[in-house]
Amino acid sequence: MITFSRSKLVGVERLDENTLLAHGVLEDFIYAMELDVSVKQPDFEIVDIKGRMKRVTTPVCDQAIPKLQNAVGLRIPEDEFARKIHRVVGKEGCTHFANLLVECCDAIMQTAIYENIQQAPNKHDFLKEKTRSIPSLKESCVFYSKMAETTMGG
Amino acid sequence: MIIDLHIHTHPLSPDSSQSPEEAVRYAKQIGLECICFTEHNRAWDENQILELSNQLEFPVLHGVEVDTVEGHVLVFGLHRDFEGIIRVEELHKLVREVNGVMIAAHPFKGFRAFGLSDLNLSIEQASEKPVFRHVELLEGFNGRSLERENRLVQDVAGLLGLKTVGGSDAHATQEIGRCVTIFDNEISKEAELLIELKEGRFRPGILADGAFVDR
Amino acid sequence: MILTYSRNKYAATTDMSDGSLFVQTRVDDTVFSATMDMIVKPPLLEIISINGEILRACSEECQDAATLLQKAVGLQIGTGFIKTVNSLIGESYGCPRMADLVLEGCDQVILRFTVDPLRQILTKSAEELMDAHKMFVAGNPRLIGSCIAFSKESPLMAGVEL
Repeated sequence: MITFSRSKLVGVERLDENTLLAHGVLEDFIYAMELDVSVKQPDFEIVDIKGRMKRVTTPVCDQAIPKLQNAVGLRIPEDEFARKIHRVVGKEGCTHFANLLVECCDAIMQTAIYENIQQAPNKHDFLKEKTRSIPSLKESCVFYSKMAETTMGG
Repeated sequence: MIIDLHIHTHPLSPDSSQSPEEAVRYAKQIGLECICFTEHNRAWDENQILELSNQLEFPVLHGVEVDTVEGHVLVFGLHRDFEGIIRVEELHKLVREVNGVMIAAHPFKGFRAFGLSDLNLSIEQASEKPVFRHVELLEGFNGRSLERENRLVQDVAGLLGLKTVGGSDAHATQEIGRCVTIFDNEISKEAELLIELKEGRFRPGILADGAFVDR
Repeated sequence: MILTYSRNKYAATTDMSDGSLFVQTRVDDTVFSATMDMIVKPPLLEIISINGEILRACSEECQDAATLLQKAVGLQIGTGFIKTVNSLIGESYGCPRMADLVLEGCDQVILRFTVDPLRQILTKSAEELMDAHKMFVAGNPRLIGSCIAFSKESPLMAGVEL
């Protein structure tokens, strides 16, 4: 028998040329909640958040909803972004909201990187160009670190 | 001599809310006789520590709390920064070279809603934690651990024949001194601290009703 | 509106007859798809085996990242664990996606041991509920200040010795 499970579902849509909206749902044995997060490009600044708690453990948990606004103005690529979210939305509000918000923001960054890759004539060149337009990508993993090295070398 | 061996200050430990000056002033106020700054993976500059100590007329020593794959370790006598993560046996080699001391910090500190000691962890099982093979001492009284977690460390220390120290692990001023180490002799510099730790001339203590008491 | 990107992440724990936990994590998104299975042994919560597979990734080089998971064998879930996993498996010289799968799985292990005491609290009557929460916090003081429900201002904390 499964003794604990958690599902997180995130969908990202493009609202306009500079705005991405993520809708995230978290459902586990204990908690259920939803978020809508809007982010502006090119800085990936959080401009709007709405949240809803559907299943929680204490009568106080709902008071975490207004604390989501603490994340408005933060930029996803900035240093220690996830840590900041866990402090201003998690510790001051709800740790599970913070978890879902980080998931939504990560999904937004993935969207920004890979959107339109299917139409690119050369996938490698497309991603190389992304390391220039999204500098934080350069040190995000071994693949992009190597790509950034070859970009600088070339 | 009463020393808090485990204190974090800002900015070297980013998760601490207290400045070094605030920590020293509070330590004096509550009757401590010396404190050790043990920042996360960052070493203090020897001259800065001396300057602070002279300026506030209070003995301040320093070590480093190192993140190892096997758990957090308080290191005394080795002054360097650590990047990323290190295996405890590698750290042991480095510490041995300088004749320093390693102490397993809060080895059974658990989670928000439960502790490892709640999972039917026997003393024998607990004593098998790999970090214990490479340290001289255990932090049996940690100011941020639960009483039952500290008790487990003390039981393991008994089984392994190791001595325990006390340290507050303070990240905020009011946490300083909750757990301390009471040394038999006066200590004014690091070399003396290392000797006293190696010779085991100390016992752990706690702050109870405004006074430091042996445990 | 048509979605530009979607992600579905699932993690679960199953109690095994020998007392260990079987932990599964799955992620399937527009770009990346991977699985991770591990066995965690209480009471020290040691990862005794781990396996994973990358089913889809942005480059062929990424497919090899599943081998990084072996670095987690022998680790014990506890203090400093997030940094350890990220340092060994993720960050700029590894694969943060695989590190995330491990951490997600470990989160479920922690929550699995949180659900039992919570279940006991949540079956209390409305009159008993506040006291049950207070007792839980008193027994687990690390909860204090961890979220708004356990902040000093929370009604759940009234009368709890700080």
